[in-house]
Amino acid sequence: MDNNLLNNYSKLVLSIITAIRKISLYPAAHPAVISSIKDIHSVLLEIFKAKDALTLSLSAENKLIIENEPISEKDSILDGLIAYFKRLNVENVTFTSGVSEKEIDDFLRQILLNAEQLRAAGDMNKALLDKNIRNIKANQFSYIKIDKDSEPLVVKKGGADLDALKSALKELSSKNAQSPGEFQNIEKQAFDIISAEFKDKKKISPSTKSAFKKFLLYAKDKGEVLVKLKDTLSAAGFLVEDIDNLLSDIEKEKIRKTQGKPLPIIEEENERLKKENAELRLKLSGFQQTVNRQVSEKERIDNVIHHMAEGLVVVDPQGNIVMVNPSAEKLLNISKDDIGKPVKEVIKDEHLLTLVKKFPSAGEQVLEKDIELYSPDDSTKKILRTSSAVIEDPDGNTVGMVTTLNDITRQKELEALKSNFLAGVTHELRTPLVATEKSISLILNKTTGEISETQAQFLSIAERNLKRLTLLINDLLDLTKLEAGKMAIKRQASSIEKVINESVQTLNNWAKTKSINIRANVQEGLPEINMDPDRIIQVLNNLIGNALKFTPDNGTITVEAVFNKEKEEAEVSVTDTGIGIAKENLAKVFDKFYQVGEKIPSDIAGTGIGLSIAKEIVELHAGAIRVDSKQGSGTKFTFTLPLKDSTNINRGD
Amino acid sequence: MEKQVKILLVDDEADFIEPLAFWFKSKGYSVITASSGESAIKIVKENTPDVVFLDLNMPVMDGAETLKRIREFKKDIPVIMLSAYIEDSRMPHAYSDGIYGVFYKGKDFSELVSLLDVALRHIKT
Repeated sequence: MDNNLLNNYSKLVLSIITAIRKISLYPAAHPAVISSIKDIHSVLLEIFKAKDALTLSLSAENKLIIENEPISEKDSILDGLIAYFKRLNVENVTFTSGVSEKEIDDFLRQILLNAEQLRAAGDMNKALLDKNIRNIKANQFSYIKIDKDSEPLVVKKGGADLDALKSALKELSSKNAQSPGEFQNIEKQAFDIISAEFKDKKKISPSTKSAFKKFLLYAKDKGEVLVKLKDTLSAAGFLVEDIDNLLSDIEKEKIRKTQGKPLPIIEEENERLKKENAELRLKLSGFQQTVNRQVSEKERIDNVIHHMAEGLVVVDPQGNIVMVNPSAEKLLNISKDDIGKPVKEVIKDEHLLTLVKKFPSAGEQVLEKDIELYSPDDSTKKILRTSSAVIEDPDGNTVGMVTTLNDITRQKELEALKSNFLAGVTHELRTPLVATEKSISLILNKTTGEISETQAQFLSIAERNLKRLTLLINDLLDLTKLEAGKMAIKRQASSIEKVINESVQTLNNWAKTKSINIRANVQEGLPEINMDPDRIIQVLNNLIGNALKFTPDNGTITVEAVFNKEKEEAEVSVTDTGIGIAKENLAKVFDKFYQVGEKIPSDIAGTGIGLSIAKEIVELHAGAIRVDSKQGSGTKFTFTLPLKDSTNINRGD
Repeated sequence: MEKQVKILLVDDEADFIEPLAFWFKSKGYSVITASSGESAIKIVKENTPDVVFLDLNMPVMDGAETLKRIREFKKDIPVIMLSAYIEDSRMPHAYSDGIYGVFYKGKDFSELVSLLDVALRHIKT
């Protein structure tokens, strides 16, 4: 091998390393940089006299090889160059004849890029092409591969990592502000280098020491960084003594260049972070407010439930008590400690138990029930009105049952008092009524002597209206009986026809005063029905009487009875040619006391309590009553009486 | 002698009208009766009574409706309402259509005289 050529190879390596150092120290276009590039170029031109291309490569043993010739320069000089090969994952670099100074300059600047910029640049060959570098080729892996995990830097001393740290510091020194986290990144880099070196020799190289010292200038709190370093090293398992030596070593180190101060975080970034922070704070406070609101809402609801006069019990589907309020505790004689226990164990009273245990069946909105409770000594009775409703989750699954308990003992007492009072008053009314009626009939029958035609006429009016009054009072009495559940139904097989005829006869006198014709149409062969004939007459009296009231003079009232074979029931209807009832008022006609304290629609005014009594009586016979009407053309009341009463339950005595 | 005062009594309840008519006649008034709003309107049109006693609660056409119809052709005829209910939602309508007063059916007939006097004074002026 030509000694001259080998000599040139060594020259080339030295000139490249010199250039790299110049470039990293001086600004671009500095005379020192330009001359170092020129040196490389002239060596290359010398070499290209003998060959067209020159390849620098790295052997497996980390030896620099030029054109198959190992370069035996001093390690300390070569290491710098090898580090770049490693750093860039380059196997070999080929310079071809025709390479220009600019290409060399660009190439060197390219490999000097810091880690971030290398990553951004991507593929090395592409980067060279982008720079229009045609005569330098690299057989290499992409820049992307340079990352912490793959650790391409296997450097004997200091080396590339330290260079990266230096260039990062250099970058920092050229700035007035740092991006957020930049200082922390460099700090980590420095710690990594120190750890690696410390591991091998229990101390660090002077260049690392000086770089770290420089770095400390940028720290806001130097002591803090040192403490952090100490922590990092002791966490890695190094001896405290060794670490302390290292730290004092670092303290002692003097550096020439003392410029450098903690850099503020870049303003925009800072602003952005501040803004983000403020937004987060706002969100957090909004969230906090929502939580507070919900907490206070819950407290309020808890408070309401706690102070409710009604008792409230919630039971889960397994029958365990989930919740009781104080009122319920008192009414059911249980305590808060019973929450979580099965209802069966807690509530001893059987009536109550069936209630709380039984869930309302599907479709049933609310299950209402009145139950009587006796105190342990049986002396006092309590009546609770309970309403139970199933609790469903949004998917419609049963998650429990809520029951409210109302102590209606007093209310029931008052109702009984009212009923008794009404019954008493009504009975009291009978005596003067009968006395008047009898006296009038004595005069009217001329038992007391002759009377004039006019006198007879008015006495008849009096007699008729006394009968009406008697009927009304009887209605009142019946109502109190019905209310108290004391209405007795005395059943016997009876003919519907007879019942209808009797009622029609009673009311015919009244009908005549209005020239109203009452017709009775009874189907032939109607079977006898098991019913209380007196009560059914009362129903008919009420229905026909009502029809008379609402039918103008010269109208017609038709009473019809047919047998419905399919349903095995008699159907009795009373149809009038009266004024009719508006659709919206139809449902109200059977209401008890409808007329009290309400505006009375004229089409049902004066129906009195007769219709509600009729309804109760028909229902006691297991029948049903309904009304159909067309305003202006009449009303039809129909009630049914089953041939066999399947319920066969008589209320009262 | 003054011309006899002609009274129209309107009520669907004949048993109420009969004694009332007799009572008025005994006091020297001339009485016509009607059992529905419709016939009352007809009578007012044809016979022109001096005063009308009109029941509020009647089937088909109630007193308030009858009064409204009468007012369509006879603005000045004095009308006194008859009612069994102290409070009736239709009464204010009747008042706004112009009535001289209300006679509640439970009261003494003598009260009718004072109501009638007010109405008659109106006729004379």
